[in-house]
Amino acid sequence: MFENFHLFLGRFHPLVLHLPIGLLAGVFVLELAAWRGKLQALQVAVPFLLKLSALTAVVSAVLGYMLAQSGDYDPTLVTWHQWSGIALAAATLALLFVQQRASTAVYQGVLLATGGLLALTGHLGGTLTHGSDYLTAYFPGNSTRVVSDLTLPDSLQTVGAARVFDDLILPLVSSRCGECHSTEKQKGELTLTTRAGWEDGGKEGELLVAGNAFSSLFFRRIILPRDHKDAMPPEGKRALSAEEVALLGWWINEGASYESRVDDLEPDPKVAAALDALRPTNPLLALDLDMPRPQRLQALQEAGIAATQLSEEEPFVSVRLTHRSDLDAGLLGRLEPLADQITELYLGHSNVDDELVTSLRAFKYLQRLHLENTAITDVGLRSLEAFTYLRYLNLYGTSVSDSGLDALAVLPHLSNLYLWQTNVTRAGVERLLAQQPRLTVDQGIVVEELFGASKLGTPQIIADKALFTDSLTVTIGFPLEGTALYYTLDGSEPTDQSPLYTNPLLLTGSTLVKVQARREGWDDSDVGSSSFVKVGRAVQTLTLRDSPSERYAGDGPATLIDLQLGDQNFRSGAWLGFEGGDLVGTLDLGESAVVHNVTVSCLEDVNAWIFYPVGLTVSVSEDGSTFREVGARTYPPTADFGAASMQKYILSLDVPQEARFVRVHVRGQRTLPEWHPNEGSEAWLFVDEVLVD
Amino acid sequence: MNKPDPIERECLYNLNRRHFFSRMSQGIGGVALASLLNPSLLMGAPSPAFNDASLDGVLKTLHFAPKAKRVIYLFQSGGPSQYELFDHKPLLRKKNGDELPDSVRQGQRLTGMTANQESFPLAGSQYDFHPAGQNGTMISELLPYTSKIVDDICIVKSMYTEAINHDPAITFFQTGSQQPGRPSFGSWLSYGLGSMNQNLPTFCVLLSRGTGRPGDQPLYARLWGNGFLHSLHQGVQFRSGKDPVLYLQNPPGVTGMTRRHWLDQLNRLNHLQQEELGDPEITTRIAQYEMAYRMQTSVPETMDISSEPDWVFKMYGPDSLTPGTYAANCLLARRLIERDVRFVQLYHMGWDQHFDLPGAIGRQAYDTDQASAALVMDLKQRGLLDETLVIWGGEFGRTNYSQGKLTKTDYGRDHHPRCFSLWMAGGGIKPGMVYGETDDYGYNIVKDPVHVHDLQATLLRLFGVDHEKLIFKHQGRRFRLTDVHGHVIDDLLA
Repeated sequence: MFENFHLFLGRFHPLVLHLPIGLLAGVFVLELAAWRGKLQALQVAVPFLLKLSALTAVVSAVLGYMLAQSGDYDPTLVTWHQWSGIALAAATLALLFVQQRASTAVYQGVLLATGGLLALTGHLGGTLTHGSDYLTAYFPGNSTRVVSDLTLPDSLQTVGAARVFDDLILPLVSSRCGECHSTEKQKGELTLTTRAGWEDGGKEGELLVAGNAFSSLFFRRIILPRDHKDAMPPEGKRALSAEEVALLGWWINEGASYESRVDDLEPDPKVAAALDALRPTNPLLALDLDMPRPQRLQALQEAGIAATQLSEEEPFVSVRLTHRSDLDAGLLGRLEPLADQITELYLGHSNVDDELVTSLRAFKYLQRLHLENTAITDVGLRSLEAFTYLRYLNLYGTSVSDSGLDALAVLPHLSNLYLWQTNVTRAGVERLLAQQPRLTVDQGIVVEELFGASKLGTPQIIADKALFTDSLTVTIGFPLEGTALYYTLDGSEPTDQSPLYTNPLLLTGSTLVKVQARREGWDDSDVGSSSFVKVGRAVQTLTLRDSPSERYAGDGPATLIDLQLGDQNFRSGAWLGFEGGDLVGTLDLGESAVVHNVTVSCLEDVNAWIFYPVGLTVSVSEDGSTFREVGARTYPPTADFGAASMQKYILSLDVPQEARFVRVHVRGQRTLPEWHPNEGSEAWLFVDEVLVD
Repeated sequence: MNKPDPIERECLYNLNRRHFFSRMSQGIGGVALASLLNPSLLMGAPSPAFNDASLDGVLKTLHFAPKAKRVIYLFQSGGPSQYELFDHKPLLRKKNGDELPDSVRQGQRLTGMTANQESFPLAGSQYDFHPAGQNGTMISELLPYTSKIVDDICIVKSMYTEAINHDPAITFFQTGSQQPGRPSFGSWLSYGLGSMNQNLPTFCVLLSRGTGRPGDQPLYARLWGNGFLHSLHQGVQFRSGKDPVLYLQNPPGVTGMTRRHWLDQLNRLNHLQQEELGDPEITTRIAQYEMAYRMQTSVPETMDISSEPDWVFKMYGPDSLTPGTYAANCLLARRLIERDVRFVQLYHMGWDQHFDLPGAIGRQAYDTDQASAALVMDLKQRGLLDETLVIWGGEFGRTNYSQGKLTKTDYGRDHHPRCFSLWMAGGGIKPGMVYGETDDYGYNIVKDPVHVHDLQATLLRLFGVDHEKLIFKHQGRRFRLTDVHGHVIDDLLA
């Protein structure tokens, strides 16, 4: 029960703080009164008043600190106020001290400083409580009227009927220019908030030249570069947007008539978009609804209902109850204390049905209602007639139909309706649009019209490794269930006569697996293929003469004999990288064996400075110390850029050799060739596997 | 006197306000002094000023009425070339091979990759542009599907940044600072606005590698890190494969029932500790354990796309059938957004095309074009687009001159921070518009520049947040996403 006790105490800060203000003011008055020798008898009260001031100032500072913990205030201001308040308390104590111990001059100095701090702290505190414009709001000439920018009066259904000057331009210009050019404050002898003011012009003459915007003083001033000294609105004020300028120019060019309506003027594509986008001001703002009580919002949040006030400017509350299957009249009833503020209700993917919708009646100010993917039908739509302010209604994925739409024809503000995946027909929508011309209806896209014939993705052939010694299990993965996967194991192209994949394949020899996916309504996939190689002999160990680069060292030399191949990503760890040098490795087969072929698997990615080898030499040995060369190949260096690729370099010995040790020397390109932009830098050699069979 | 053991000392240190008030001997002044030295001592209930660990955002109410409530950020990592995609520059084709005039470059610094190049031959796009949409916006032939949604998107051609290399530039875009250590955009939103969701993280991250340059630079988790904010605001990476979120599934041999019993007991212990210490971190910990438990069900359900009908895959393209691709991630993004995740961040790598640009950008565009357009259309027909902001763009642009040799069919482009293009859709962004202009060489901005901080300020504004007011005090300084910069670009707002 005491967890918020400091906040309780803190709220006494506004009460206590007036004591030191008054008491210190009293000290000032007494000192002033005693200054010229008159009324000196009063000075005896000064020490007493000072002691009281110091005590109350300290208490006030402590309480103020507690209040600040509520976090309800602007943190920057609070910090300033906090420290000036603490300084004031300290200054008051100091004042008490110097009054008793120091000279009069020192005392008077500290007294004045304390007075300054008092004014500063008091002002900061006042700003915290009442806002920064509290003092100056009614200062003569300050207009507190808030007129919104370019908007459409709510009385109008379409922008075509709007009076260009009275409905669009005057409210816009009044709001943006009225601060300086109003009947109250006529800078440059110009008033822009009334039609008469426009007709009279200002100190520099006529505002408008009908039919010629660029000759019109008004227009020229608003299109000047922002840093020009004559630009309007002046620096520091928000500039008119491109559309707003376009609208003004259009109106002047079309004759600057004060009477014409949008439809009377020649349409201009630049302005049309801006005009089309105009929406009436929110009619709910005119109702002046109360702000929601924070306790009520909090009560809902504690009950697991996501209810949030949309912004601090407006009272509107948004409630989110999507994907819930436990909604009932009781739960929706808990929202009713906020019925006057709830304007958004998200009930999509929930168990709302026709009956539950009836318990939404209380929320008469709903503007956005999500009922997508619920069990609502035409019957339930009739309950929506009551929501006269509704603008957005999402019914996609429900079973509503044409007949249900009649209920929506009476909603005056409805502007966005979502009917994808419902039983509503195009004709039904046309009928509704005839009654609701401003409505935008989304019935979803037709995939076949917008997206061409789609080819199935290539099936994935999945196995632990590409090389194996005994047998290997291979699975074929495809994400879309029920797709036919035809495969071959003999290298031929799969057809619909090929075996159909159902269970994992067991490979016992080197195999090229090819697979193709087929499905009705889709183009056949590309043929996916992977080759799996049965390795005759596992290499026991491999030792390297030179270590690979630390960055591309994989799991050490064993990486080259782990039967795992890398992919085009040279950083994957399956590759060993050698910078500017060669790979010289000695393989120990464990026992003497006949060597037919040596295979080295390499990567090239010239953009990453990785090049294929230019030579391969194989030597063999029985004892591991004296080697004799038994085969050598050279390869042409890469001549141009290309995408990254991988290649196996196979050296078949002319005469098979019996040996226990095999030494492989892979010669890298060493330096980048002259056609490469980084010519001369060290080239990389990347190898992921060395095989012997 | 015996030294108290460390745990006991910690407990004493964490003594909450209640204990102070029950020991009146210390007096109010003592309490106030103690709390000045350590504000957390006075905190009974978690207050947003010092504790950002709750699922509610730190902003109790927003500064403005929000237009956007969710975001899908399709980050194109590596810096896509604007000349081949959005910024149509016929002059570059005409002057193909001519030297970049110094009057255009104006001493602009270049990266070490081309600074020593002897010549800077201008390189025109190899790809044609065609008008699209109601306003006839010129779009590259590489983006046939994006050109179908031109009326729904807003293309900004005048983005510019300060960084010239990938790491600082991406970090700048994501965190508002070139130096690592600040919270990511998604973390700021999670901190400010809280979660809309009890079952999934507020900030989800999906990665894909492009086919344009498969070995392109990798990304690092700090890009979606929480910086100095509470760790619950960090992005959670969803991976393709059988373990989408690491360490989420029960270890082998542990059943769901065992896990539930284990959690119940742990919660009981945590509650005891909470009673004793009143530390709000413990409440957060309990909530996080429960969230992880619920995610054991919600994550597999979200990642399982087998319930999607056939035509969805046709729409997002065949790649969407392959987990881990950009298209599959776009589809997942839509599924996450439908489940009320606030921020979905995709990264698609492979746009860093210093060489072989014509080939590589064609493959990258093929990777991303259809799925990005499908995502926008799909959100629209579900009635989600008006409150979901979609952003497509990289960390900087590319140079108008060729890096390396310019041939008839081949050229490369280096990093260019002075101008680049991106597009946005939905969530209160003005649709069907092109904002900003570059000069005929496409090198400098001539109209309506948009700095990265301006973009960040504008995005926060769409969420109803004043970018100067969403702050976190850390090490004595108040930090914001936009640091001390940024102006809202009003003309981008619908």
